[in-house]
Order: sequence, then C-alpha cells, then structure tokens
Amino acid sequence: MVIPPNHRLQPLQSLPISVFSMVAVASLSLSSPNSLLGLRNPPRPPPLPRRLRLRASAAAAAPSAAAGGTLYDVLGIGAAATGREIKAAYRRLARERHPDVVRGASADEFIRIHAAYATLSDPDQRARYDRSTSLSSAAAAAAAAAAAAAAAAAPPRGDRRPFSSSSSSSYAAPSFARSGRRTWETDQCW
Amino acid sequence: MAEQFYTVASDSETTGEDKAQTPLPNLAIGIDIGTSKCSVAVWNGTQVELLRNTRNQKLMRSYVMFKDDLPSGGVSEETAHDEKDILSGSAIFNMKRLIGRMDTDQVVHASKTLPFLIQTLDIGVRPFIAALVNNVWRATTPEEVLAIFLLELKGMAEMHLKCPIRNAVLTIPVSFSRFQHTRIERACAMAGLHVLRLMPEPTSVALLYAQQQQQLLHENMGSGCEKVALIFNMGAGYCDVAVTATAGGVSQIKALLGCPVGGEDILQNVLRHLLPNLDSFCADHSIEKIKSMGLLRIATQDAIHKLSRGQNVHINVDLADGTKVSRTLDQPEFEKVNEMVFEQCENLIKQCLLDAKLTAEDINDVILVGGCSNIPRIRSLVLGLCKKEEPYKDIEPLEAAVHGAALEGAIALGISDPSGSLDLLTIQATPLSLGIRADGDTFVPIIHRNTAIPARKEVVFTTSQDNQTEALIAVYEGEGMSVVENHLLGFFKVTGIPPASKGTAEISVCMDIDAANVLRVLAGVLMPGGKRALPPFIEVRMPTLDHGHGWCGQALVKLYGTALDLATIPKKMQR
Repeated sequence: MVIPPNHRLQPLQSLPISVFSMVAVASLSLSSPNSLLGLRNPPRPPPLPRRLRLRASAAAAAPSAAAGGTLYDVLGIGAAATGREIKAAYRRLARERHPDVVRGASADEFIRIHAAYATLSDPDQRARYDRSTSLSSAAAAAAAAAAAAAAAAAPPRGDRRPFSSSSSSSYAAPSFARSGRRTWETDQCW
Repeated sequence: MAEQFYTVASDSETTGEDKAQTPLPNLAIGIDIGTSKCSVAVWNGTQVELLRNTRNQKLMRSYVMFKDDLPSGGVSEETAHDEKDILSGSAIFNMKRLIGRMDTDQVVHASKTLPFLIQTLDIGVRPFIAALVNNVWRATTPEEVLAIFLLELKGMAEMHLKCPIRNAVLTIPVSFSRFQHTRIERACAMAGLHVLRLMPEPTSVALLYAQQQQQLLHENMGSGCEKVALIFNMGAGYCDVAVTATAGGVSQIKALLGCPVGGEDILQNVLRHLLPNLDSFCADHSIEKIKSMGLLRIATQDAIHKLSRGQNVHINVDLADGTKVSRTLDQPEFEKVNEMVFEQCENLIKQCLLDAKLTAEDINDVILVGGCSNIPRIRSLVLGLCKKEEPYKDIEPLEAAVHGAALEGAIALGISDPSGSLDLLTIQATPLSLGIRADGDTFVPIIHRNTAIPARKEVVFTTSQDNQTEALIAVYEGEGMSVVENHLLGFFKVTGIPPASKGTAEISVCMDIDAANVLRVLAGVLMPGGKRALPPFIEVRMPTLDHGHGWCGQALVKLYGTALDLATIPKKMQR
C-alpha cells in the first residue's frame, strides 16, 4: 500500500489546506456552496453505492479539512449533542472519510475525526474539554484575538504539539483563525 | 538461495504464462493459516465460498512433508499423509507457532518436544529447524515451510477459479509482533502472493458479524442499534479476544488482546502429565522415540477430543524404551492439568473488557471460534465472564476467520455488491503498544495499544547528557515496562543536536500508522525559537530488522545505551 510520504516536517510551514483536499477540490472543481454550511450541520448524505460515495465524499471532505474549529465542528454536531448523536456522527463520518473508503486519501482527516470522537464520547474528557474551551474563549476575548493569545488559548488536546500540528498541517493555521470566530459563537450560546 | 527457488517455481509453473496472456483478475483470496489447519475462501460475486481440495476438504492440515525429493503440503494430493506420517519427523508443522520467533522464546522452547528437530542457542536469533529426509536432518526455516504450503493453497485456488491469483488477505493472531508480520509477508512473497492485509483473527470474525447484523437490518429483523460482541478465538496455537461494536456496517474494534496459548499447550500439558520425563524422552530425537512419541501424541489428542463430549477416557500406548502409558483421564484431572491455560484465557477476557471500558452487561453477543472453543471448560468460562447462557449461533467456529478474510479481500479491492453486503468498514485498533527506549531501559509508549488505526502520535524527548549531539531512536513493540521484554523493530540515530546542557534540546519522535497498518517513525530535533538551521527529520518505515533482533538490542544497549540515551520530559513540562 503506497501512501503519500509525509512532507510536512517543519512545524511552521503549515499549508492552509492539505494537499489532498486541494487536489480533491481542483480535480472535481466542486467548491460547493453548501460545503460551508456543512461545517456545522452537514446534510446527511443519502446512501450511495460505494464508488459514487467515494467521489462525493472526496469533495465534501475538502472544505472541512481546511476548517478547524471545535471538536463539535469536526463531528458536525452541536455542543449539546447526546452521546448517541456523537456516536452516530462519528460513524457517519467514518463511512465517508476513512482512508479505506476514500482510497488514496490522507489519514489526517480520519485521525482528527477519531480524536474528536474519543474526547467527546468520554464524559470526563468531554467535561474537561468543554471547560477549557470556555476558558479559552474568555482568554481570547480579553486578548482581542491577538494571534499570540489565540495560540495559547487554542486546543487543549494533548497532541497539539508543534510537530503533530504541522503533520496535520491541514488544520493548524486555520484552526487558530477560526477558534476566534467560534469563540464568539460560543459566547452567543452562553 | 532456496527462497528464490520457490518464487521462480511459482512463476514458471503456475502464473508465468498466463500472466502474459490474461490480465490479473480483480480478485483476492482469504487465507486462514491455522497452527493446525488452513482454509481458503473467496468472494464469488454474491457470497463467500470456501474452497475445497481434491479430497473435498475445506479445512486442510497445515504441514509440509519433506520425505520425498519434492516437499509437499498434501493440499492437492489424492491421498493425504496420515497423522503418523506427519509425526515421523519428516514433516514440519506448527509453522505459525515458530515463524518470526527467536531462539530465546518460550514458545520455541516448548516446541522442542515436536517430532522434527528444533535447536536453540538462546542468543536471540532464528532457531534452527530441520526435517528428517532419508535419515538425515535437512535444515529449513519456518518461512520456507509456510511458503511451500501457501504455494499449494494458491495452486488449489487457481485450479478452482481458473485464473492466476496474486492478492490475498491473511488472518494472523493478535499477539503477532510486526516483525512476525514481515515474516508472513516474506513467506507470501516466496509463494507469489501479494498481501493486501494481515487481519487479526478476531477482527476478521468481527467483520463477518457486522455483515450478518447488516443483513438482519435489511431483512427488518435487526434493531439498527449498536451491537457489542465479544469474540473469543482459541485455536491450536493462539488465544485471541476482541470486543467489537458494530452499527450500520461500521465496526469499531474497541479492544484486542492475545497470547500464544492454545490447543498445543493443552496437549503438551496432558503429555507431560502422562509422561513426566517428556523432555528428556524427546531430547535425543532417535527414530524409535520419535515414533513412540507420535503414537502418544495421537492417542492424547484423541483423548482430549473425546473429553469434550464425555467425562473420562482411557489412554493406552506402548513406548519405545519399554515404558507403557496406560491410564484413565477424567474431566476434573484434565482441567486441573490445564488450570494455567484456563487462567490465562480468563485474564485475557477480563483485561480486554477493561480495555474496552465495558462490562459483561454491555455485551450483546459472545462469539466462540477456533478449535478449542469446543472444550466445555472454555465455553463455560467465556460465557460465565460475559454473563451469557448461550454463545452467538450464526457463526461456524472453524470457518469464521477465513470467511471474514475473504470479505476483507473483496472490500480492500473495492469490489461493490449491488445488495450492499460489502458495504462494510472495520476501524481496526493496534494490538500492541509502540514506543521507544528512553530513561535507561524504560519502554516509553508513543502509540498505546487499542488506538484506532490510522493513528499518528508524537512525543517530545530531551537529551540525557550534557552536550549530547546524537540520540539513538530504538523502536520497540510490546507491553513490557522495560525494553528487554519487548520486540525491537528497528533503530536509527538523530544527529546534529545543538550542544547544550542536558534536558534542553527537544527531540520529537512521531509514529504514524496508515490505514494499511504500515508503521513509519519520524524523528528530528526541534528548537523552539532557535534560528540555527536544523538537520532534516528522518523517516523510517518499520520494522527494518531482519533476523537476530534480540542480539541487536543487546549490542545497542551495550555500545550506545548511556551515551545516546534519551530522556522523557515530565508531563507538566510538555507543552
């Protein structure tokens, strides 16, 4: 099995979106308008035959690979989702984005989905995550979205190391930008 | 080289000419190489079909007979070698227990009572094995034996399907190390087979279970809810446990655990019980003793099978040196002799449930597979721990693994089925932890066991010496706290660390497992805020080692253990 070699070794050279998603967008020229909507509430795709689904999901994968946001965004669910909803969202995304389904796709996307699921499906971890995001939103507000503050406040997940964030460069930079926006939304919720 | 001989033979005899004329079909076979029996299955377009040999068998004894000029696995012969022949010293069997193991391994040592020759020097290299050919011990290797056998299985499948076959999915025990995976792949390559996937046996059963649950849903008989199953698989060589959660055709392997304990150990325990001086009796490997050991083995095996149905059994065998084994073995005695085996099984199940963060109440179905699942004590033990009255019924214990492997073969090739019965996805998990050596001989896991695949994890280490400019990255796999208990997969150096006091430099080690279960290790120096140009990172696909990895590990520690050691950074300090 040949996978594309990992070229993203330098932490700071994070590309805005992953190579895979660029290719997907370019080759399909399908920057669908509902892809932005899809971030929070992706429409449930009707069951397609495997091959069809491959293409459709490759296109759908592109925008959200570029997106960062909260772990809830990653799974396309609301912050109030129940355990059952989290599980259902994870399964649905796994069916669309797992590299075994999207042949030749990078594993980054699924790794992110799984990490989000692993945190949110565990009540303790989820509570800790929720607490830290609300803390970070306060910090971000205080620092008026200064880049430094955003970085400090950013994702509480342990694997936010320089290397891993670069190796999944698809979401490093944009997630910082977006966490500000999401913070605002979370504030609204509260 | 002997290894090349088989590849050439397979190319010219079976596929060489066909290849030029017809393109290879989009086809993959599933192979279950059991310690004792093998089977082959294929997705025939509508369902999985188990292939039969010329003797109309779906399950074929795994062995290779070296008695004649041409070694033979007996797959396609008109008349099979009988068990007495197989136990004559001229045949090699139990390949799966020996492949990829070092001569320091307990399992290799326990195999010395087998009729063929096994020599160990306890230095961490491949053991010497040999078969008796015309009164001469002829050396071979487990890989070579397996390759010969696989070549016959491939030939049988090609006869059936009337086309050349290249792709295969093989099932393997959960406890196999990545080094053992490479040995299986090597044997397949020698037989002209390309390995699409190596599937841990219980996960292949999980795939079949997921398909059956989907089918029930289509027939409006299933609830559509998530179903959790505990799969207990015990064959002649290995015991595996897995917990799988399945819904909507997606199975998530929640936890996996296995150990090399199986029917062979049960047999050995009973043999030792009947003949306390078993080891010394087998030590000289004289032809008379091999012959009488063969008789005793057959009688004991038969007795164990009978004990699965009855309460007691009589064993009566005359041995070569005038010893006579004649006694009755009853169920309580049998269970007492094998107490350790049952205890190990019990621990595996308990630990696996713990790892899956589930209790017996969460389990919907208990699936019992493998030859040993017929042993009454094993059945009651597994069902008892899972608080179930009956095991899951719709799975054939001896055919489930190969069935799942054939399904995975079709899925991996992207074959689609209009009825949707291939619309399945298994999210696999890592059966063993992967990490590196640091802080002396400590094993520091980077990817823990039961992590979903694909996975990527990174840990930052630091230097252990002042002005240390190089660090040794020694990659190990296993659950031992110390590296000596684990399998060495490979090693390399990170160089060009800027000289500084110890504990300053940051060395990043990242492990990546892709969906095809390929492991890559990336390592290099990080320098926060530093302006100095740093050397490029190093990426290595593991394992890199060939045989003798036990030896390598010792040499590494001895030569570079202190000077190039890494240190972990306390959790608090990690950013």
